[in-house]
Amino acid sequence: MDPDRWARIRVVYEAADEADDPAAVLDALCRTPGGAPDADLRGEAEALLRADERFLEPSTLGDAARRALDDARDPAARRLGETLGPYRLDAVLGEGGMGVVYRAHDTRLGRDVAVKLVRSALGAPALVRRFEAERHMLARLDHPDIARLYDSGAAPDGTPFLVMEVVGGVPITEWADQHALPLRDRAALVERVARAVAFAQQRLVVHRDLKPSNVLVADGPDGGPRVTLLDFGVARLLDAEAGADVLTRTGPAPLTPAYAAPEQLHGEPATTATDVYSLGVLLYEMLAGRRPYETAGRSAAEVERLVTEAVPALPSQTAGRAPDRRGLRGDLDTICLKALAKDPARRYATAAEFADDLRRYLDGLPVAARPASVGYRTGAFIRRHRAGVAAAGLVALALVAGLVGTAWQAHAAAAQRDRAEHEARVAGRVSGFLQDMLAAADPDAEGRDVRVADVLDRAAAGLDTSFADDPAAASRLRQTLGATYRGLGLYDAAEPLLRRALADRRRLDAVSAAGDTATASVLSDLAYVLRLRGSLAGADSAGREALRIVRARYGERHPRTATAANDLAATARDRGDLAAAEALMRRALAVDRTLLRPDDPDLAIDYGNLASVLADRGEAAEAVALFRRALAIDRAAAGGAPSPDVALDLGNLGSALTDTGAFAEAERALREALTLRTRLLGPAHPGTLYTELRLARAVCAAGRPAEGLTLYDGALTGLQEALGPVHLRTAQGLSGRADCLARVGRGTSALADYTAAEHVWAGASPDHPGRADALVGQARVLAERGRPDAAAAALRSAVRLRRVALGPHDPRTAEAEQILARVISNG
Amino acid sequence: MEVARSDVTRLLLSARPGAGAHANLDRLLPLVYDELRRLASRHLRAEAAGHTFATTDLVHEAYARLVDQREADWQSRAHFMAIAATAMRRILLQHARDRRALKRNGGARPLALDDVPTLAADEDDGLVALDEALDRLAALDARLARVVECRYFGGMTADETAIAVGVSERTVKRDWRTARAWLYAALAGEG
Repeated sequence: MDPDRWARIRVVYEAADEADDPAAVLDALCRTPGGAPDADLRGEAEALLRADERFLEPSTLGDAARRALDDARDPAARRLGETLGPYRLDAVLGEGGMGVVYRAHDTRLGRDVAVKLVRSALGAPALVRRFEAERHMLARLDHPDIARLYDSGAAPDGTPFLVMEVVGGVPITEWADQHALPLRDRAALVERVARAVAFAQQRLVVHRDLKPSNVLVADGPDGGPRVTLLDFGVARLLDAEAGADVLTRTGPAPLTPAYAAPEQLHGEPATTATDVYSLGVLLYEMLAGRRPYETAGRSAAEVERLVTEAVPALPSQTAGRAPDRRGLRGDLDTICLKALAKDPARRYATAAEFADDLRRYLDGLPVAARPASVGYRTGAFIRRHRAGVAAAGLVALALVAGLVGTAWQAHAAAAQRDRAEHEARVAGRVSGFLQDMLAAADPDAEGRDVRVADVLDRAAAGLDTSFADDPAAASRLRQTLGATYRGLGLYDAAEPLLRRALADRRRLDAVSAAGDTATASVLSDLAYVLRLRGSLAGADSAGREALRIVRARYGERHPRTATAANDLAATARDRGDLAAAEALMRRALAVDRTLLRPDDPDLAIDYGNLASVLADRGEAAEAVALFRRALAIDRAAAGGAPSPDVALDLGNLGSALTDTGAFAEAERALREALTLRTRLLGPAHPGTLYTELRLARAVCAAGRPAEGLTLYDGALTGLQEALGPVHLRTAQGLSGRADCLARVGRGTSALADYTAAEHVWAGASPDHPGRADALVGQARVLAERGRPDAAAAALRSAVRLRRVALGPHDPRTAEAEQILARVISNG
Repeated sequence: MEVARSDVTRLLLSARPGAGAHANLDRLLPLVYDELRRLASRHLRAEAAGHTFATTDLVHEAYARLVDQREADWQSRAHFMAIAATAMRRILLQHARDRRALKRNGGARPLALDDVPTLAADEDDGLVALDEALDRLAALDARLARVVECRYFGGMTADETAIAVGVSERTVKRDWRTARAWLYAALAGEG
């Protein structure tokens, strides 16, 4: 065969190979120059088409191994010079099991930072959102001996990264050797480390990966040691169990076998006593010059056996130098071995207790640890189900109780006697479980949401095993946990729990129809979370089902029916179906007015919701009046305490006042709302950011665009990080910022924001009224810039959308028509 | 002989398309060949058939050992792998020919079984036939043969091959499909 002939065959073969109908292609192409069929050519091409597709294909095993190897050998240096957001990667500082650490320059703040790119089994987006939520907890670890976690994010390829304080120094063991530190000073140095760990534990953060390379020491300005603990809580962040998919364990937490506690090697949750164990290994190594078990070169199984079964030699027996051996005998031996107990219950419960005992030794006082009997020391570690002391504080208990409210109260009055008993049993198990989970570790510790997330993660993970036999209780608990996650703004963690709760309920309903109102309750919670996540179709169908169930059971004139109608109306509003939303809400209000006292907070909800829809429909004056009523009820109910309801009412009132032009009063209300929400929810909570958006709008409207734009930028960045770029709340903010940008003549930026907002709304519903707002804004900018045709096109869409959503007689429909007429006549 | 890492890295970086590239490529091939043989004898004496996995593994290990990754980039990595693919083809072929000779000559020729991954006996014949067919294909269309070398003997992915051969990934995929069809037809035609 000559190359020319082959070139001809190749053309025919490839055309046929890529065609839907190869025979037709062969018919057409296999012709001689004169047009007659070319049987030889066809035969050659057909021979190629018959080839086995799998011939020479590299095996999938090979590909998988390839990827694994590629990953493992991914040259860290390849990223040098890259920038991740404001961080420019300048040098590799180190590489470990979790990933690569770079020295980087924060070009925004002009300081050097350490950036850790993280390898993780979790999906990157889930991990990044997780980081975002947890960063606030870690940001509170403000201690001179703990390295700060500044920021987190994801590289363009999706790799999550953490940004930390850059610290100098060498591992603590190295520093001690370099300075030929005497025994006493070594013990004192470990005490100092333990104090920093204790500080974190009081804030319910456990380290979980304490080892010399995470405890850096440098010479301080006063000649003494400067200690810095690295990676606090980072192991926890990376634990797959604590990830977004809380019910599926997808991979082991990162840990260092030589310093890991027996329970960690068994895959059990880390507690404060886990850190105590690692501190024990550290103390042992600092004192004896070697670790309690030789782990180098051993397999994971051998290490696990050693750590969980072998008896460590006394430090005084293994220390290299004779004077050290003498100094160690007695109290230091005892303290080490107590910290290294196999059973967490036999260790110091917290790092603070461990530090206290070291201090007693250093001060010459009797230590609390008792020399262990041989029997205890040789006793193998028995796996136990422990709540652990890292669970949570009393504040958490109060918060969960407050958030969940009556979720598990038995509805005895409305139920049959056996049903009441069943409910009571379920309620008992549920509250017992929650109390176990929330057993107070440290009532003095401050803080709010973050520790609850800790507890919830563990609770959710424990449910599968603890309640496998009791779907009713499991469902109730999942619902409770889901509602609490929702309250914390962790919507993506809430949804799977509620879906599982619903699946549990449906299985129960298949057996007995008696529980259908419990199903409705789960459906309502699910609808709420779906609405918050922007999954409006799902929210609508879950909400409809819930309304149907409660209406069938309780009738129209019942608070639960009114509540279900209310919830569904909220979804209708988000979908842009304002007429349906108003009708549902007026119905709910009418029912509740006959059933409730005039100062009942549920009535405030009805007033507020109806007012929100009215505000959307342009009825700002009526909305303001109703919001004022809601605010009055909620203020009275709160009695001066910080109340989320008051914050909500203030935010709504502020927005409506902005619409009516009462900017000064609007701004006052919104600033109070923002202060309240920041206090109640934290600064990064979507609810807080949403209030900030409203304030931004009021400030812009009041004629201070520069200040308003700054507020917009901050809030939008936060919202996009919390909710993702395509969310209704984000769209509203984008559109608002665009209005402000347009007003100050920044047309190009305004157009970009309008377009982005319009896309989000269009994704929610093609007829969404928000779309029309964005289109009108777009058109104004386009008309100003001398592009009447494009402006007219946008306005035509806006007019059509407003006719559908608001009706042909709505003033805003007329407004769009007038602008359109003007643009056309001028153009 | 242990090859200095920096030498290979330097040769590799200067072996990029451009001035003096060919001379350096020619000096690089024997170095890579030696390292692959060494690795093969050390790691894979007990490995049975299924050399796709083994070769891929070896190529990557050779890369990790021979090339200073702080200096090498993604492109030079693809070029290294393409060179390694050629080396691997030679190694596997040498081994298959040796075994065939052994069978024919009743063991007259000494064979260092430790040298390379052991292939199943019937694979030896297939490999020699494939190699010969590949030479014929190279005479018709050198790029198709090159793509097969990278993809099959080097275990390279389509995008790596695209960088090494200097065409788009799409073209590599098309070439790979056509080349396999041609080779299949050629080998099937021989019966």
